[in-house]
Amino acid sequence: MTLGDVERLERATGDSEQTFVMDETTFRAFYDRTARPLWVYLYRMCGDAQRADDLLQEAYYRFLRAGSHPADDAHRRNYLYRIATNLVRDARRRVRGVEVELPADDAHDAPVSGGDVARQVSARTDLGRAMAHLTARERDLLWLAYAEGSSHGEIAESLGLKAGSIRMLLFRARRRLAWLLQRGESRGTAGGGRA
Amino acid sequence: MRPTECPREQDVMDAIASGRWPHRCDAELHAHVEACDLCSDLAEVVVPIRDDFEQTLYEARVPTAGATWWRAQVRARLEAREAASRPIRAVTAVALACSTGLLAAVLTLAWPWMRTWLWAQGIDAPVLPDPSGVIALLAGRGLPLAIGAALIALAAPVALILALSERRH
Repeated sequence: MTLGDVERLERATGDSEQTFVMDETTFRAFYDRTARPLWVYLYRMCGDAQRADDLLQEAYYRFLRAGSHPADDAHRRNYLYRIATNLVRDARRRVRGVEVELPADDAHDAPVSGGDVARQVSARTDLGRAMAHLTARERDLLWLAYAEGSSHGEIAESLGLKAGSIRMLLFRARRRLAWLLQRGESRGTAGGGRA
Repeated sequence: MRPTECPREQDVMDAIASGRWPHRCDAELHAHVEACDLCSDLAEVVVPIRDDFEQTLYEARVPTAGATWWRAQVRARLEAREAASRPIRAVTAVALACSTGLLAAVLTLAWPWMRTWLWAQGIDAPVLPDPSGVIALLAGRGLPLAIGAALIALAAPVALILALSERRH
């Protein structure tokens, strides 16, 4: 390697300081607002905390490397969720055929208030089981709509769907999940359902 | 066609989001939810999703913004370095291929003299085919054969170097 090569490498390395369009202060503020909900989204969509950690890092890296970002915060957030959704989809494709493991809801050691522990663990396990029976898109839709409180337009932007189709897709997903949850509650008694 | 929305959906959502549902909201809303399939599905679904979201959010442990920024910077630098060194590697590969070809040509042309010298040292070196014969053969078979042979001779070392460098990464 010649001296010119070394200089060229150093110049390229130095350029990466300006590679990110977003400056560090803006990024920190944006990250603090979005990282925890995004991690929860990734965790609920992929069902694995370690993979959610990796996907979170990858999502922010791709977000930073993108040439330009939407100006306002809401669109920026939707753009980040779109990247995250695509990453989860890619990850799902890679493990297609492998049975998705349910999240270990009781694995966390965070304190939960006294007498509610059993009820909360049971409710979360039921939800996890029911969600596992939904399609990936149904899970994405329900989570963004009801956990994140996103509007139909925001969901469409995050998932790359047409805004006009969200209402019907959400209606179907909600109906299916309600049926799965009711079936879970009445398991062992009469069968049947509406799905 | 069955309805897919109810005008009271937002009331139910607001009651759930504010924590009033199911114990601290008015009886009228309760009565509506019991009578409306859409709103009962909504309550059935939204309550556990929101509970799960809030609990998981509370438990979530994410890296700091500074750590994420720093990792992204390091990765960007490595990728920039890799991108910058790619043309250098290509030029090196071509140069090596040319050198190999040149060396092979010089050795072939100098082989009769080298063989004489080796024979004088008491070493019986093998006889190589006459290069003029090879050239005549190539000329006889036509130009495409000659170009093909030259391309293979040039591409093989380049492919080898690129394959080895990819494996290293």
